[in-house]
Amino acid sequence: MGIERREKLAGLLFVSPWMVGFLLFGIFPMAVSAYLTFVKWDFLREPRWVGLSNYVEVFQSPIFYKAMVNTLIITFGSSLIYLVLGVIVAAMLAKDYLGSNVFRAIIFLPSLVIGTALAMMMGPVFGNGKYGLLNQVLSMLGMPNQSWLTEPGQAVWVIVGMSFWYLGSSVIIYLAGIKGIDPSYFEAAMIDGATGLQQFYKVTIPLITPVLLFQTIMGIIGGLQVFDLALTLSSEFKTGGMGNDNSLATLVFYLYSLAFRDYDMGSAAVVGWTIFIISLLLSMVIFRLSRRFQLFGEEESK
Amino acid sequence: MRIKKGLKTGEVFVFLFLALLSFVILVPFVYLFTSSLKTNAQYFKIPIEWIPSPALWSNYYYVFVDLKFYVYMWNSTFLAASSVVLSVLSSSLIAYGFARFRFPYRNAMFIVVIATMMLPSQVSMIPLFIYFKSIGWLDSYKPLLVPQLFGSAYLIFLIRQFYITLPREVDEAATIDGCGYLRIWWHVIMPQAKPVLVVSALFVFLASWKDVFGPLIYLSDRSAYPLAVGLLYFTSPTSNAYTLILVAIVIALIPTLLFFILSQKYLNKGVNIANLK
Repeated sequence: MGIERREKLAGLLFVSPWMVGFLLFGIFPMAVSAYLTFVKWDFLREPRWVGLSNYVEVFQSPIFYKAMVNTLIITFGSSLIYLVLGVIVAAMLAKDYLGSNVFRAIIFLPSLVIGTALAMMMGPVFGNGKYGLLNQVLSMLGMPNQSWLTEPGQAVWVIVGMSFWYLGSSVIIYLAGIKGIDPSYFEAAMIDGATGLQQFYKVTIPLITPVLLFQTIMGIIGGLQVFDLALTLSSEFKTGGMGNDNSLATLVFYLYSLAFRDYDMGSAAVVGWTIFIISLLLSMVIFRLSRRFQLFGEEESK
Repeated sequence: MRIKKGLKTGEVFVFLFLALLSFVILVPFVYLFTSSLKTNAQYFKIPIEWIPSPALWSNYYYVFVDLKFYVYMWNSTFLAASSVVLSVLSSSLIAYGFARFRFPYRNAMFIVVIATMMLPSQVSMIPLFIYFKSIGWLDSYKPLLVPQLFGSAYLIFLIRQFYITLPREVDEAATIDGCGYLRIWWHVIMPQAKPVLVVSALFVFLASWKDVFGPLIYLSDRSAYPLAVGLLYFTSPTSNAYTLILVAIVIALIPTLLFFILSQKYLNKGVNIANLK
């Protein structure tokens, strides 16, 4: 057996677990999922072909639109915070001075916290009436108390606000990107008399665009899948609700609710595909946009 | 002179900004912790008692031992540790295949690996649930662990990017000495790749530790729940002991802290690898 043939076989053998996994847990379930969108199935009776009626049902449901709007608010809100504040904080942390190690640890640590624990921890902070910590701050400032979690339309912003506590996961990636920049760029800029601020948007930002792009796409995909925070904040979840007047419904929460509370596998599959398509579209839009704004990128990323 | 002065005010601004951000981030943690040491009556007192007296450290023993919170902790640790071993080993082997061997459609396949990384898993959730249900895997850890045997796209990508930077000369020398491909992977490649493997382990551990959806749909026996889900269903035995739930949350945070300290050494090194692309 020739060395080339041997190499070919060995390579295929080593990647074969991935190929099998891709078929078993990727292609095959997706095909089944496509089929499921056309049937009604509740595990008890045989699947029944219903044509497009699952699509009609889901797309006519007001809860679906609420979940969609909530998911988009959370996705764009948190992505914006991660992108803008994340880069700024990372640039601030990149230089070593008094306490920067401590700040780094404090900002990074919460991103390791379990989502359910974080949401439960925030319960007393966003609590209703005078017992909520935030409401106590508001009354000290002479402002009226808010019903953060039960007022429809407000709860979703609490989730956006919580992304401050997950800022660290983006900061650490940006920080690594900034530290990877050749220091001579900054020295050259300083000799030319660039201020810290000018260095930030003339050197740092253009040079880490590929990292920004990657992290933003991952952030958006993560945002679209938001589930545990919404589930935990809607204290009614054990009895089947999704927050007061479904104010905490997100697409994945809705999918969960359809599949495992209503046992309507077909409609749940429709929601699954919706999440899939939206992820795909948003990723493509970002790639397009970034091509227009990218200044260095390609030469940098080998 | 002027430049120097400008820098100084800038630094003060940066310091204040970071201090404010850190303060905001820390307040809920501090509030949670001090509240966890209170009785219900102390907890509902206004204004807030930031340093509770008396401090009820016994709350912790009660929740951890008497209310059996350690069971969740053990389940989470077991699940996360098993996931790390399975996923890192399989992904490393697959990455070795992509990095070191030429075979037909290799690049096309690698692009598919990257593409699957960007796709949400929810679309295949329902069929997988039905599938695992039909082969009787519900109420076991199999649906959570067995898929890990087939590698994870993100890790394959990450590790492969690292492997291609390793010098081939060492591999070749080992081949001449009569080492097979598997032995080269285990004895030559793996030891050199320690930083990227540690970072991969960290990612898998965290993903498993934080997962809510999987355990929620596949497990129904509460004593098998991991921490993230067990916490959701954790209720205090008496209605007037709300602070016990806060204790449970703090306990759920502690492993995170340990994990952070343990991973510090490798984190900065490792994340740089993540950006090599």
